[in-house]
Amino acid sequence: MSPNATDAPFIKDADLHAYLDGELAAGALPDVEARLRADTDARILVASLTGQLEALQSKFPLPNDCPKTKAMVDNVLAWQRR
Amino acid sequence: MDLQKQAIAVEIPRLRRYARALSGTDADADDLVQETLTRALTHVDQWTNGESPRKWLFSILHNHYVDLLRRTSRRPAHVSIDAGDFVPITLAADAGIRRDLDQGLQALSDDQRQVLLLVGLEGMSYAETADLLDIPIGTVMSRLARGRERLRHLMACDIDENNVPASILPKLKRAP
Repeated sequence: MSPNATDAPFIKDADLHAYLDGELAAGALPDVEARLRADTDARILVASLTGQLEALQSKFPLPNDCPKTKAMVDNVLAWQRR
Repeated sequence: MDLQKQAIAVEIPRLRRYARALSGTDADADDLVQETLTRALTHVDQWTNGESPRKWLFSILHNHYVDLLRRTSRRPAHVSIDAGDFVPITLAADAGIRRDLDQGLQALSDDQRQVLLLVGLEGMSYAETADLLDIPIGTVMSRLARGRERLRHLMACDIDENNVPASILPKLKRAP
């Protein structure tokens, strides 16, 4: 915890994860945002998690147009109950 | 039946992406998805009409994956983040991060990787993830936190605190 976080409301790291994932209860939002403004450690954690998510989504784009996907789609659409 | 097949086909890119990230190899991922689709089409009557087939298909894929793990026992059940049994990967560029992310993901326990991918990559809610994996929401949250923390250590994601903005918006709340 950073020294400058003394006056910030204490928020569990789990709530910072929930904030990032869009799962935070609406009433808890002001406290979390207050901590983010005041607490460098909290900002570092959220920035790190955001970077992790960006890396994940960049690394694994949806394979919409690749031949294998198209072949699987064709097979499903052509499937007949035996 | 045609509408059901179309709804299933729409989910194939997501199934392939999740399977690829989960299994770590294209070949394993494709086998996983093929088996999932075969099971889904064979048992399409089990899919409740009117609902998105996504959760149903991901459940089938997850169950098949767990079956495979049990059969092959090729992965440990759990690796503690405190075990000190990993070497941090130093990353300098985005390309390196993406490349080594694969290694980091595969170093997580299966439980942690599943939750991290379902929430972080597929944009599922904690409740959906808990339902799909048949675990309590609290377990989803703890596995997610441990998985992210371990991945942060593995990838040695150093953040320059001087460049962290005062207001950070969660711009990745939901995957598209």
